[in-house]
Amino acid sequence: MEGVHKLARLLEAATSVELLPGDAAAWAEIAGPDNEHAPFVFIDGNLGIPEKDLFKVYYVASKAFSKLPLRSLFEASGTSNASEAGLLELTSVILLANSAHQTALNVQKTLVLNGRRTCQDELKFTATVLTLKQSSKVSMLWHHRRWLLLRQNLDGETQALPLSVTDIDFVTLKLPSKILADELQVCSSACETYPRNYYAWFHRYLCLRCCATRAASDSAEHASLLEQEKNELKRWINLHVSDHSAVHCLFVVIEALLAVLTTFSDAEALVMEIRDHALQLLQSYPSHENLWLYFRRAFEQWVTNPATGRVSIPPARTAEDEAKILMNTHKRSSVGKRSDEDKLVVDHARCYLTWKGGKWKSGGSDTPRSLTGGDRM
Amino acid sequence: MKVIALYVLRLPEDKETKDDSKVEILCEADDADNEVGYIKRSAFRDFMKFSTRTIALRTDEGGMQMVEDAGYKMHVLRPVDGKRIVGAAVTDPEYPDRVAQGLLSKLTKDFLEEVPEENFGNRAKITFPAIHSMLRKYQDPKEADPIMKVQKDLDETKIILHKTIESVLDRGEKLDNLVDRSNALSSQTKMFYKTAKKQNSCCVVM
Repeated sequence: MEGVHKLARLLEAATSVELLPGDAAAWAEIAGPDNEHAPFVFIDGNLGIPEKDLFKVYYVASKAFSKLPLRSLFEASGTSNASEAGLLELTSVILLANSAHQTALNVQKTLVLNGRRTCQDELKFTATVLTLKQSSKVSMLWHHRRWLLLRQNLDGETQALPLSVTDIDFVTLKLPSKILADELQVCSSACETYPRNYYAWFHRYLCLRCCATRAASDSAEHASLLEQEKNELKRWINLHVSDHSAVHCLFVVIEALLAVLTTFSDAEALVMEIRDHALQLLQSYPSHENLWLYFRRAFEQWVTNPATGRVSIPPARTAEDEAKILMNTHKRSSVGKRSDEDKLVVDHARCYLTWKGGKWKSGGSDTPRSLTGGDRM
Repeated sequence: MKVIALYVLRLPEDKETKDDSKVEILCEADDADNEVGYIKRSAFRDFMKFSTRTIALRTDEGGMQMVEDAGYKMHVLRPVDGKRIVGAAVTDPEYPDRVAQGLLSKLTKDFLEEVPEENFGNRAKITFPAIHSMLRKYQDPKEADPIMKVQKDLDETKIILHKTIESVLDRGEKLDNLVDRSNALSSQTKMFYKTAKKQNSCCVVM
């Protein structure tokens, strides 16, 4: 149990946490000869946990945890034989190694409900755990975070809170823009740690929907956050061109902004901005399917009148020209054998033109807005 | 996509040597702080340098090698008549090859123009702050758009692609042995390589 206490205390004091491959012996040189924190490494507030030692400590903690009389903790009286400091040490260590341990998460929720742990501290703890690669993609942890935000928002109200929160509950919360901005930052860090992190993007999507609801009720702060997020997502897509989730989130933001903008010219400027961004990316990286899908979506937005929902074919140099140009460029560009990349580009361009031919009639007549169900987002 | 490190290396006079510690690092810039945690950073840096030096020793004049391994891609360019100077970049696999090539071409060209040859032997005398601004600027290849479009100068270079570092090595050489024997790697880094390899989570991807 000594290891459990040590780790829990170091976790409390650490500014960053990382897992190290192997065991303590592999990191002895960096840790130094008189490492008082052994088997863990703790330098300048940075905690390194050798994986083998983490699992040893986890085993001890989960055994001790399973022997606790937890029922009395979960019941209304809120008292139990386990001291809450001891409980927290066990659950912190357990969740570090196994972030999907639902009982440990529920104990932490119960401690928050009983007022024995603040939402703030618990949010800080989950943010730390989410910096670990394997933990950053655990759906329960993100759900736990949403529960905490719901709880924090209800502070001062006495209604009973279930140990679960639905997505709808979350999206209708009146969360301040500062809190939402922090959440978006946590999501970004998690996505850097673990690329194509579905649950991090889903959390981001829910936060954006929450923000959109507030913006639509005339909150200027939230509208401003949406604007910032639009720029941030554009920047992210520039650097992660295969990231479908980022494109999906961007369109949630665009639709939310379109609902907030008051003039037609502002709306038009916004859709043009996105269309141009998509086109630029497509010209730079034409072999990426995600960018073709981004362009399709941006194109649809562009040709749909935001006021009426009706479609009109854009004038002059259309996207079709762009696709044809790309296709021909790559057909001609290769000397001798066509490269794999060129083949990909030609295939994507062909798909795009087929999609366009199927959906839009040329000739400039208005067509009712089509469903976008065919897009694989 | 990202550029994690840029190096300007100088090959030793002895053309036959396979000792990576003989490849000098004249200039470097990296983003390791954002890439790995604090404790693993020095081993990570060491290993990036070891990999690029090892590849540089086996790159012909006028040639370029691109090696994808362990979730990263190492690009090494050795310009013709470059006074044994080699440019190296460590990126993620998504980073466009053409841009990496253009970046290294510019890095080595600018270095050779700005840094006098007599300073090559003394690292303290080399000032080339552009390597840091290039690392920042080239994070987004679209900003280097002109480079992406200009193909003519670059088409002369012979490019070899590799799926692993092992395939760069000469017949009979093993990466494990090179790591073990290297004078440039600390024992901590060697231990890190062995453990990460055993666990199958490769050395530099965490």
